[in-house]
Amino acid sequence: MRHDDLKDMIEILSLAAARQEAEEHFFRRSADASTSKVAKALFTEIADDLLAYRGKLEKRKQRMLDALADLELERRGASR
Amino acid sequence: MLLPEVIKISVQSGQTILKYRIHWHVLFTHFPISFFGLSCGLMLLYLDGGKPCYEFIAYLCLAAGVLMLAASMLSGWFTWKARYKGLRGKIFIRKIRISLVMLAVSVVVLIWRAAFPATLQTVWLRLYFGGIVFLLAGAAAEGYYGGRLNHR
Repeated sequence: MRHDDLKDMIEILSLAAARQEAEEHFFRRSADASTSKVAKALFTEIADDLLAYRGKLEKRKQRMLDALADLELERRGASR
Repeated sequence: MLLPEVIKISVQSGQTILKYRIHWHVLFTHFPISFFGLSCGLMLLYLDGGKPCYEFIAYLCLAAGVLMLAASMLSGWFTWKARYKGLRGKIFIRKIRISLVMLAVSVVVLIWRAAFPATLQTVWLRLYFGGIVFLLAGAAAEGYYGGRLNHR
């Protein structure tokens, strides 16, 4: 993968994680506001799922950041 | 599998409340593109031999567009900082640059028209019109990049 492509992918992953976070917060807010026990439980469950998914995205992003750092190191080495 | 759960939910006591938020930036961004588009269309009518009132309404629309542009920029800044934690990605950098250029052009065009309404001769009038077209294109570009934040 090219350096710029990798950077683009990292940006896309960051945006996806931000969207997931906003969704998660919406379900948490709704869980807090709802008085129905079932609704509270359901919303919290969905929010937890979204949090877990965001965690996966963050891990993947970290792997890509590491790969980018390696690539940049390689580039610097080649230019010397 | 889903149906019994739905029925179970419906017979539970208590309220289910969905806590939506107002997304001010999304709300505001529709206005500059609308006002600049209207201003552009009215100027086209005026340049095509229309009545002077078209040009005046185009000017008012331009002023309204500039006002809403400032509101969009401000709300966009806060959204960028809060929701995206100031992520310095390509899309955000482009959006910020475009909006700053748009703000500068819009202020110049607006002051120009306000200060010299009677001296808008053919060449200057076309430059003024060019400024409005540029603002419309800028608003469209902002919409395009804004859409890419949420849609693929």
